[in-house]
Order: sequence, then structure tokens, then C-alpha cells
Amino acid sequence: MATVTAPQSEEAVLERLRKQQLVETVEHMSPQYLEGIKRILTVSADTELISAPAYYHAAVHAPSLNAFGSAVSIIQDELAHAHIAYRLLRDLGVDSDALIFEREPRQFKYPYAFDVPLDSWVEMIVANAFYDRAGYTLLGDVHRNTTFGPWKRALVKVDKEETFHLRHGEQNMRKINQTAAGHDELQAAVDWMFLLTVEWFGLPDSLKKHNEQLGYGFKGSSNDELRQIWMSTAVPLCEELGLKVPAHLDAETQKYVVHDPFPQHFDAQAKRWEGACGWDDVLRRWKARGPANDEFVGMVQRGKREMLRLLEQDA
Amino acid sequence: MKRATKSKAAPAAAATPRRDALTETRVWQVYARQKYEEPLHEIGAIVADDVELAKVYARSIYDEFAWVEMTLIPREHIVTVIAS
Repeated sequence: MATVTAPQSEEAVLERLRKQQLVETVEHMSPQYLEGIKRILTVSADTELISAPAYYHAAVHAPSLNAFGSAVSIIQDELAHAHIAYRLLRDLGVDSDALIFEREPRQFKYPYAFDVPLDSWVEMIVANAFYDRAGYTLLGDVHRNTTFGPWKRALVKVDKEETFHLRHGEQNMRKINQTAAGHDELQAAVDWMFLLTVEWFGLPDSLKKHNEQLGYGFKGSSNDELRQIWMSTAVPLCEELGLKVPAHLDAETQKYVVHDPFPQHFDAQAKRWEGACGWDDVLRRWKARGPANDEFVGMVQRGKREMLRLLEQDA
Repeated sequence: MKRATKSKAAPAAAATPRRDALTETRVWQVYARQKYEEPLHEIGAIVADDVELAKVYARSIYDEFAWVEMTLIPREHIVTVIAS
């Protein structure tokens, strides 16, 4: 890949943003803007990509052909979203093939939640309702606010399709909830998946390291604001279905409050929360990655490795 | 010892052309429209070295709407007249 340099000064970039002109190419960027947009795009691309093997792992439990087809359609959407984000990275001088096929599993930058395997159709459905809602919350915010023009335009597709995914989750949760056994299974999934999705939005604003995401307008809302937006629809959905969640709307502040300890230690094998901890502990857990990290990255990388091996045999 | 050193180096030296053989490089801009009364507009891009594969990738990746028309233009053929 040709080396790409961002020629603009910080002042020139900020002046462009003040004039409300979108940043279109690397020619409009400063080195700091380029590094920042690459960082946030990599997280987005990795998240979309890894959702495909993570959802496939659960989609095989689909209870009907229709359900299996819907799940596979969602997986295809996620791969297309990943393709878009890696393609944008490629235009910024990143070797996206190396990023996808040559990184160690632990180097991927997606949320920890996807490292905890979804082992049933009910967990797949709650993932659509929770995880895809998180994706919709994050990328909807980027779509409305980002200063990087190519990403803003690409997200028209992503925004539309993530809406379908979370509606798929909501409608199927309502369907599963019609029996007592279904309700119990939903509650068991919600018990471990709710706080993992609250975590999804990252460190609290007070501890956040990379402030360029808001400063450069890569996105419009802070981590804590996005967490609130997610809870403002996820909590009412659970309340509608009689599912207990460790969060409620505070009548005085009109903000959602997590009333269980947060953050917490998490036993990924048992899928169980194990009491209060600090964000340093959470960062260590995220960095160590979870139980399905190797398996899911391996599913993505296997095809290219096998093709390279075949080419070596022919050489 | 010499042979061991050579066998270690060989895969790394040979890996690049093989890797390159699997890496498509030609970028195609994708344009589409949903209604006959609207103009074609850019909806994204795909990478494919072959025009037939480019068509397949564009159809499968940009399937979010029921387009009435979709067109591909090789990026290198686009001429910028007024830069943003």
C-alpha cells in the first residue's frame, strides 16, 4: 500500500470544520485527524465483522427456515457494513487485508460482549434487541454528526439495516415472551447481556482517553450520553415484557440509572456477574478478550489462510 | 544450518506475491437510484479486479434498497473539476 500522509495543519482542519465543510479525503486531514478517524473506523469495522461469526454461531439454533433465513440475512448485512468501513480505511492508506486476515485475535477492537458466545436462539434474539440497538445508537449518532463525509454517506445503508435488526430482536422477544418458559429463558439471557451492552459504550466520560472523537466531530454524543440513549429504549422494552433489568428511569433527573453495582466482574464461562469492580478491572478483562475471541476471528481468517496454502502447494 | 536459515526465509519472501494475488486493487464507484425521477447518486465503492465480479459485489453489498438502476465507474476514470 502506498504511504498516505495527511498534509493539513490542525488549524486548517479546525477552520474547515468551523465552516461546516465535511472532510472528504486524506488531503483535508491533519495527522491527528487521520489517526483519530482510523481509530474509530477500525472499532466500527471490527465490530461489524465479528458480529458475523458471532451471530452465525447462534443462528444455527434457529427454530424455523424463516428464522434461519432472517438471521443469515442479518449476517450478510453485517458483512456489508464491515466491508464499507474497511473500504474507507483502505482509502485512508490502511492495508485492510492485513487488518482483517493477519492480526492476532487479541488485536481486534470490537466490544467484549461479542467474545461471549451466543449459545441459543433466545440469546441471538436478545443480541439483536440489545447489541444491534447499541450499533444503531452509535452509528446513528455518527450518521447525523460525523465530519468525515464518506462515512456519513455510507451510513445511510447501515442505519436502515440496523433498524431492521433491532426490530427483528424486539418482535421475536415479544413472541418468545408469550410462554412462561420463553419468559424465563429471555430473563436468563437479559441477566447477563444487559450490563454487557451497557459496558459496550466504553469508559465513563470522566475517564475517556481519546477526546478527539468529539473534538473533531467524528461523532456527536459522548459515551455516557450514548449509554443513556440506548437505555431509553432498551429499558422500556424489557419493562413492557416484564423482564427485570438493573436500571430504571430516575423521576427527578429523567436519566436512566444503573441500580446494581456497575461496573462488575464477569464470569464469561458461567455468564454471570460477580460483584463490583473498578474500570481498571474492566479494561484488563477487555484486553485479555473473552472465550470466543480465537474461534470467531479464526472463522473469519480461515478461508484466506487455506487459499494461501493451496497457492503455496501450486507454486 | 544454512539450509534451515533458507527454509525459514523462503515463505516470507514468497508470501508477498501470493498474498498480492488474492488482493484486489481496482476501485469502482457505485451509483444508483431508487426512483426514475431522481438522478443517479454515489452510494459507495467496491474493490474488484474484474468487471463481472465488480457487478456481483456491488449488487450483494449495496442491496439496501430496490434500486431501479445501478452503475459502476472505475475510480481512475473520474475527473475532478471542482474539488470540495
